[in-house]
Amino acid sequence: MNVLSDEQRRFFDANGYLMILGALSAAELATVRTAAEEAEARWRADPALPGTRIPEFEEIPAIMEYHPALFDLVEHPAVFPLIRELLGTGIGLVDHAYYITPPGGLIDGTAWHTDVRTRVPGVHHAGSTMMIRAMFALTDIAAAGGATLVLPGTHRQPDDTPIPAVATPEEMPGAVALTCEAGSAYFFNGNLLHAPSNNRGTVTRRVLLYNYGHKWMRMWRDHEPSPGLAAAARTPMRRQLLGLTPPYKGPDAKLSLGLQETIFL
Amino acid sequence: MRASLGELPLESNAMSQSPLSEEQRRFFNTQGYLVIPGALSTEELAALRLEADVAEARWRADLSLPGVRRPDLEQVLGIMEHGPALFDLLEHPRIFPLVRALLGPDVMMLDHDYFITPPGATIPQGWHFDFDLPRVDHPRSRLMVKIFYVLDDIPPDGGATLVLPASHLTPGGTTLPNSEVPEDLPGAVPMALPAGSAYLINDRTYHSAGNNRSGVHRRLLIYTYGHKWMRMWDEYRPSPELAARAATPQRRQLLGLTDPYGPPVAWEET
Repeated sequence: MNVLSDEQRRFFDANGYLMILGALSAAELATVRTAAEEAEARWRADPALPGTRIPEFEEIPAIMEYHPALFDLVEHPAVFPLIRELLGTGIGLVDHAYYITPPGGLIDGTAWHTDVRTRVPGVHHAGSTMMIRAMFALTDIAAAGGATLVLPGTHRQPDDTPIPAVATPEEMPGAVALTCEAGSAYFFNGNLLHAPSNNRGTVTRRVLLYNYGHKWMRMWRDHEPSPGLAAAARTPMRRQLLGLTPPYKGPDAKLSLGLQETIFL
Repeated sequence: MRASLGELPLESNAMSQSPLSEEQRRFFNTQGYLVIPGALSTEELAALRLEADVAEARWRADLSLPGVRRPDLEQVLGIMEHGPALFDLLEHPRIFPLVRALLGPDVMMLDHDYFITPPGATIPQGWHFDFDLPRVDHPRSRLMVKIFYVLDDIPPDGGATLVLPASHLTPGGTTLPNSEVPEDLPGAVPMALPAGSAYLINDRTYHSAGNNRSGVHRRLLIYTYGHKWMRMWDEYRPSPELAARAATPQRRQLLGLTDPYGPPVAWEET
């Protein structure tokens, strides 16, 4: 049985992205926010922890390492089954992070990019689906509040299609700002042109990122699971997502066995 | 039919910027395979045979060493771990540049083996694609190139690899005919080649081992290359000793020891 509705599939195929309003319940959002706050506090207290610390953008990579609730979010039932259907049963995870975008950013138009065009050579991306990036909004995201911008339909452009030059991300003709309320999620094809926008609002934008690929793809640098996280992967699906199963052969994990914790059930 | 198409001597490329001639590239693009006669010099072949013999003896004596031990196939898994010449074959100065030209600068090793096919081996319905990966536009992508180095002459009935030309252009999920006797598949081209030859296929070239009806073992060294963002089979991850011997950034990339999604290393032009 398909998880995506016909309309969702049509929209994703044509536009390269999908918004899931209200993906997290109020209780789930509170749980995830608390976990993210704990992670952020620990990360700020220890500059030795890896990440990006620049005025316009902070990134805590490998966020699942910080809290069980952030690990469990990788299989959230409102989002994960949809992405699995789009990528196939051999789904894997490539990277995961917590993005914090404070007001007052200085992002220019060169921020437009696809995740796969230069980083995943050898693939004809216009006809393939190599990555799907999911973002969970922990705060309301207004158009001027640093929303992710996407250029619908560009995921099927030929790989050598030039990216139009613009001064700021917001000036890209046809760009759509993925605005939403806290608790919503959106995801997009890794070949879709996208960019962060400048946060000209007053609220720090906070999103959790889970970037899915195929189990035969390597994880992002420094995202190989720690022994502790690997030990916490107690289901076949969780082990597959962490790259702990054979890459090219062997049975794919079943969806129904995936949820190992209870907070999102 | 004997393998003859695509047999272009490397010397013909001496003046070319690319290690692949246009004809070789066109042939590989359209047929999905390429034969390189005389890929190994006499001295190289002798050195590789020597190390392969030692590796085989050690592997036979130690059943804990990984591989396949069946009547129809013996596979010494992870052959680069067994000797320096076998490790250096990963970057053979005349053959590896062809692979790099086909895959790009982010090339990485996926697996490496010594295949021994004894006389009498039968391979019923052995035809297969190495990759049939969902959501990949296979006909217009190139994920992998596999090199076979021939260590001993392979007679026409000696279990030669069979390839089906142009089969790499079939879309993912395609089922092609199989045959009980691999050689019976119409259009099959056998890689019956003299020692020192090499041949290349890509990830979607439909192929099979043949039945070895000769009196000699078929002996091949197989090096499979992909992209550095791809996972290596777990059993081929380099041992600490092999990793320590990867003295250059290029060798480290080939062993999967660099950033999977970062810029590739620079390669010297050939």
